[in-house]
Parts: sequence; C-alpha cells; structure tokens
Amino acid sequence: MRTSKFRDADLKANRKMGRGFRFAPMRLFSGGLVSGVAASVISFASPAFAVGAPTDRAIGLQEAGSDIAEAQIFLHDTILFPIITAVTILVLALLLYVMLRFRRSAHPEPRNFSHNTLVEVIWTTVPVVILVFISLFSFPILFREGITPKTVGETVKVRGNQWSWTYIYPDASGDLANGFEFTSNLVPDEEIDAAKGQKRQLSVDYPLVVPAGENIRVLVTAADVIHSFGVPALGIKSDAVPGKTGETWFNARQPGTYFGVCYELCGIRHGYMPIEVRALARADYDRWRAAASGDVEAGLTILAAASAPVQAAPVQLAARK
Amino acid sequence: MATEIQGGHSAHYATETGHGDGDSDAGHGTPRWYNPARWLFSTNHKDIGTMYLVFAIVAGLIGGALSGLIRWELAQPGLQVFNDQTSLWGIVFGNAHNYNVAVTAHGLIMIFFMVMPALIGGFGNWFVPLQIGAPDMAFPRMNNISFWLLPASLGLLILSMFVPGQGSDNGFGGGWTAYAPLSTTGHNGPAMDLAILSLHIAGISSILGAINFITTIFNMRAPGMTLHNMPLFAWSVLVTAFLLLLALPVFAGALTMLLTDRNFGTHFFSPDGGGDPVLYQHLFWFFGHPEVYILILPGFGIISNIVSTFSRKPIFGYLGMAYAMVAIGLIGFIVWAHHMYTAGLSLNLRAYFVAATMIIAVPTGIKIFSWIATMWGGSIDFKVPMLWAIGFIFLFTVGGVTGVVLSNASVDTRLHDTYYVVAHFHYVLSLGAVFAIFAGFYYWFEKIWGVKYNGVLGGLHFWITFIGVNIVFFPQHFLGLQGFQRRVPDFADAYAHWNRISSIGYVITALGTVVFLILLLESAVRRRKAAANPWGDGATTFEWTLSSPPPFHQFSELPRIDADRAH
Repeated sequence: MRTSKFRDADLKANRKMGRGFRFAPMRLFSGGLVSGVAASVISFASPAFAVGAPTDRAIGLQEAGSDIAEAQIFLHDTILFPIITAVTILVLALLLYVMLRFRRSAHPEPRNFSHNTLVEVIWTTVPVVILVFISLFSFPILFREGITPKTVGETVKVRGNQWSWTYIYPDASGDLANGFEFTSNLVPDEEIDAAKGQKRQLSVDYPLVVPAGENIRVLVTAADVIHSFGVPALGIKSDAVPGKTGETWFNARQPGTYFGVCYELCGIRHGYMPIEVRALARADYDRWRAAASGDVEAGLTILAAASAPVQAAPVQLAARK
Repeated sequence: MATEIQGGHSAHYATETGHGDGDSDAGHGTPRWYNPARWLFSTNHKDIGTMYLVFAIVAGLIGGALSGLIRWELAQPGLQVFNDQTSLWGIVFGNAHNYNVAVTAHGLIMIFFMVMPALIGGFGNWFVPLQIGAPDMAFPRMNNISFWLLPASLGLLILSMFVPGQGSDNGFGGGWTAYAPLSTTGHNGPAMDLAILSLHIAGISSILGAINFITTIFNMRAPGMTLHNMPLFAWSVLVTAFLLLLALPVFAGALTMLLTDRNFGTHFFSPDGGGDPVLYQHLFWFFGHPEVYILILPGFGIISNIVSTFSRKPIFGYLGMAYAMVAIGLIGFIVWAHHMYTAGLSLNLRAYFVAATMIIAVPTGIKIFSWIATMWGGSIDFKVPMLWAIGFIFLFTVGGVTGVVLSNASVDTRLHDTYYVVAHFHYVLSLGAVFAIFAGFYYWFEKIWGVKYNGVLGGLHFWITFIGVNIVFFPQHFLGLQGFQRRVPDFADAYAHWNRISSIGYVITALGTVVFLILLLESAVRRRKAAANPWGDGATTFEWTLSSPPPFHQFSELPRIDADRAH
C-alpha cells in the first residue's frame, strides 16, 4: 500500500538526517487517551475516504490525518494532558485539604513556621524533572515537524489573499513559475449542499488537491496582509507573510477531505476563507492534474468521480468526545 | 507579612486620624469631595489611586459590554449581531469588520484601561506608600499627570471606533496586537492613527508611573524597612515597574514605526520597500510578553498579602516568593517568540523558545505551592477577599498548566490562534488578574472608602462569577482543540455546542457583575463606618495601623519597623 511505503521512506529520511531521536512507543500509544483505536483502524483500512473536520461537542484534538498530526495527538493526549490534569488535581486537593483541616473553627491557633527547606527544594526540582520529561517527547516531534523530508511527492505553493487562497502548482519539471494556478473561495451558505458532504464555513469551490500517502511540501506566502494556512487534521499551520515564503509539509495518510481555515486575522472576511484539502490516490491525482492544468472546472469532474464511492458512506474520522 | 510596628502605635496615630474626617483647615486638610480641584489637581496618592480605581471600573464595564457583544454574536452559527441589521435601542452594530473592532477594543480596554489602572495605578498608588511607610509617592505631580493621561487615551481609543478604519467601515479591526501590514496598508482610515496615539499616551502614563514607583520604593521606605522585609505587594509593584520601564519603550518604538509606515512613506514593515512584517511581531512581543506579567505580578503580591492575613500566618518562603517574581520578570523578557511559533522562525530558534518558556513554570509553581504552604498550619478565615484569593490560586493553576501545553511548539502548531489560546489567557487574566483585582478590592474596600460592604453580597458575587467565568472559558479549550480559529464572527456548525455553552456562561458572569454593582450601591447608601483593621491580627502591614479611610496625609512622623522581625 502506497501509504505505508511512503511513510517508511519518510522515517528513513529522518533517520538519515540524524535529527533528534525516534520514540518507539509512540506508535503503541497512537491516538492517546481519548481517541481509542480509531487512528489505527484508519491507517490500515482499505482506502476509504476520510473527512478531517471538526465534530460538534467534541472535546479533544481533531483526529489525525497524518503521522505528524498523530504525533501531536500523542504529545498532547498521552504526555501533556495527564501531567497537567495531575498537577491541577494535586493543587485542588491540597487547597481543599488545607481549607478543611486548617479552617478557623477546626484550627483556631495558627502555627508560625514560614520555612521548610526540604519542601522548597522538592517543589523546585520536581517541576524541573517534569519539564525535562516533557521535552524528551516534545523536541523530537518539533524537529520531525519542522524538517521537510527529502522525498517529496509534490510541491504546492499557497498564496493568501484578502480573502481567498491561491494554489500554485509547478509544471512537470517542478518549476512553479510555469505551472498552473487557481483561486479557491468559500462556498456561500445558500449554495451549501449537505448531501454532497459540503460543510458551511468550511467547503470551497476549488479545493487544494494533493496525492495521498506522499510528502507534500507547502510553500506559503501572501499577497497583501498576513494570513495563516492551517489544517488541523494534517497537523500543519504556517503563517502566510507578504514578502516571505514559509515552508511546511504534510503527508495525508489516505484519500479524503481535510478542512482548515485562515488562522491569522486578516480583515473583514477573515472568517470566510476556509481551506479544503482533497487528497487523492496517485492515479486519480495524475488525472486531476492533467485536467486541471488546462481547466480547473474540468478538474472538478475528476474530483467528483474520484470521491464518488465515498459519498455514499464517508468515514468520518472518529469523533473525539 | 509579619512586619510589626514598634509599640504604642495606636496612640501614635491618634492625632493623625483626627485630620482625616471632613473638611478641615486649608493647607493640610482634606478638600471637600465635590470640589473638582481636589481631583483635577490632585497630588495625593490616595485620591489619585481612587481615581484610577473608578476609572478601571468604568473601563471594565465598557470592556465587559464589548465582550457581551462578542458572546452574543458567537452564541450560534451565522451572524446574529454584526449583520448590518440587528439593533439595540436603535444602535446598529455593523458588519464583520465591526466585530473585529469590538474584539480589538475589548482587548485593549481590558489590558490598558482596566487591569493595569486597577492593579498598578489603583492599588499600587494607594498601598505602596502606605505599606512602605511613606507619606506619599516620590513625584506627586507626575503622579497626577500619569492618571490624567489615561482618560485622554481611553477617549482617543473610543473615538477611533467611530471614525473610518478601512474603507467605509469604522474603527480599527486588526486585533490588540495590531500586526502589520493589516495595521498599515490594511487599514487606510484614521482609526488606526487614533489608536496609535491612544496607546502612545497610555504608554507614557505607565512609564511615568513606573518611574514614580521605582523611586518611591527605593528611597522612601520607613526606617528599618529593608527591601528584604518589605511587604510582597510592594515587591510585586517594584518588579512590575521595572518591566514597564523596559518593555514599553520598545512598544512605543514599534507604534512609531507603524505611524511612519502609515503616514510618512517609511517601509519598516512593508516588504515592497525592503521591510519585514515579522519585525513588527518581534518588537510587539518583546513588549507584549512582559506585558502579560505586568498584568499578573501585582496580583501575585495582593494574593500573598491576603493569604497571609486570613491564614493568620506569615507568608511561607518570603524570599523565595520575592525572587520568584524577579525571576518571572527576567525570564519574561526572553520568551517573546513563543507567540510566533508559526511565523516562520527557524527550527533552532523555536526549540530555544520552547525551552525558555517551559522554565517559567518553575518560579510560578514555587508561588502556587508557597501560597498553599502559607495556608498550611494556619487558622483560615473564609472572608470575601480570601474566597477570591483561593479562587485565584486554583484558576491561575488551570491557566498556568495550559500554558505549559502551549509552550510546546509542536502542539502549538495545532493550537496557535485557536480558542485554546483564548481560554488559556483568559484563565490567567480574566480569571487570574481579575480575581486578584476583586480580592484586593474586597480586602482594601473598607480602608479605601471608609465604609463596610455587605459580606453576603460579596460572597454571592464571588460564587456567581466563579461559576460563570468557568462556564465561559472552560469549553473554549474544547473549541480550540477542535481547531476553532480566533477572531471570527461566524463559524462552522460543528463549533455550535460549546460556543452556546460559553455564551450562557457570559450571562451568568454578567449577573455576578450586577450583584457587584448592587454591593457598591448598598455600601454607599448604608455608609456603615469601617474599622481601622477589620481583619484582626493577621493583617500586619502598615495600612491597617491607620484609620479607615486613612488621614489625607499620613506618616507625618515616620513609622518604624522592628528590624528583628525581618524575614
């Protein structure tokens, strides 16, 4: 399966660069506390059509559509969340204990100590140990996230505009200047077709289309003011700064639709420039590319065909309640 | 604080308390309260502190009303308020731009015109001189201008909401951070220029205040009071004043560069002239991060005083508490780019800022645990200020631990500019700093106004607010984890549920504010005479040795503290 092949290549590339170190148990914990087994089911299922979108009433991170997103979920759900919950409960328990034990009616005569070197040393050093423990997991993920793997299946340039996104594809030789581009706009509320799986405030007319299971390098810039290109389920967010080109990367593990939004206040329609990433199997992607490079409308027909079997029963990435 | 006054102080002050009441002889008496000259030309730290407090209450009500519009808009998907149609008593709130204006103004008003004036200008002015045994601030006239610049500043900011900001839309809607180029080429009207002028003036006010506090604390402590037995509230204001002095000039520089970019053709932040928009972010956050500690540090001092008073026990680990604040202040200057993890910084830079930011958890933890250790073995009296203080300790902990989550740049990729960040900073500010303000307000209420308040109403205010703000802000963690972006008036339907809950919380919180106003009214009407020290032997700082309210001029003969009682 293409997905896993590319993931292995990605891992090898990271290892070769020798950045950070790998944390083996991470896979075992995939999905962490609240997500159950959904993530692993998705990675090994037949190529169903995934939907990376927010879920109403959910209380956790959006389910992972990429390995990086899964690593973020691991760091949050398995490392950070238990630690911060334990610290908060400890403080709450101590507060409740002193409030009960040392309330005036129960303890009328206050003691008069104001120093205890041992406990002061403990509450200074234990937090340091906890922070070092967190950073053991945090830094490797940061470096994995921040370094684009050497094997890149496709490079796409994203330009933020007030208030839309322009997607620029390179030509066959990889030259962004001679490729093709199109601009993606929000589907207005009155044109939303829920039967087609469209979501208000998230669906767009022309999605960003990429091959699934391959490393996608995203170059991010802006035409006017600062925007931010973020897709939660893919674990990416990169500010689009005029005059600069930022870089990020993702690898959508399976074909599907992954929704995102502009994350940097950019003016009156900041809330109306969503992102829709459509990941297709390589063969479908090549057909889309061939069609869309001439006419982006023609590309839509391919997209509809490529996701047709899915619309009957889209696999909603597990609700994280 | 176990500073004690050498024997016989009640007799010592008897002569002075006599002066405080009514309107006595000209020269060193108290002018009548309705004489405008008393307030306009005031050089009296207590009168100026009172004006700061009243100003903060008014600004807090304006800022709170703006957050009401925000929560009303976000109560359900679609545009409820900012749709060019909805009107309240004939006022139409405008469009999505005006929503951004409301968000921007809410942030600026709450930070610059509510929290800072209340903690530093209000309580700082009132109680730093009293706690260190000084007759007044070092520069009383400068103190006057520090205050009177603020109404001018707030006036300009409010005015800016009603003049063109972008195209035909009124007001500046670029957020309190005012990132370029949205604040330069993105807003072509005069609203942003007025906002810049407003912030410049507020900055000057704060810098003058900071100079005043530093000079006062270094030079005007009573005989026997060293820095190492000074009350922790005075310590907190001292550290805060240094942060203000070092951070605000950088902000002023960034604002001036915005101003010249907008009006005089410079290109500091515009790439087409060789400038860099990210430079603005560096300058802004070099100020902005210390600024958030400016907002919370005086609260730390207040909580230390209150916890010690109502536990009837000296503060645990006094030196650790003082130097934890110094450490937080110092580290606060080297963590600014954790606000910019997604801005395209190099990987190594991000890694550094992760490490530096995490370290702040250590001195903060020392403070939390030391407060609990102060209560340990005490004899705790759950008076209204103590309720707010305990509420503060718990809620600040919640806000603090989510800060540790956000410090991890890899997870922050998910959470940056989502409601998780909004929840985090409201837990440390709205539930942290504001709880500290109310704790201080109820702690010193009788001292300031000379009348008692109704304790039942104060307790009711606490419980309603405690429940309300948690319902407002806790669900916002869930929204942020699901990816809900900040600063938008409309949102995907999947964010509807927790937004609705959050808006319900706002209504409860607003109810708490009504109780607060009733409490103010009740105490003003009933005018029950306050005692000099309503809190008993746990209240050991100098202000409790004076009458309530203190005489117009105190300490004409300087008090002494017993050096043996030093910590």
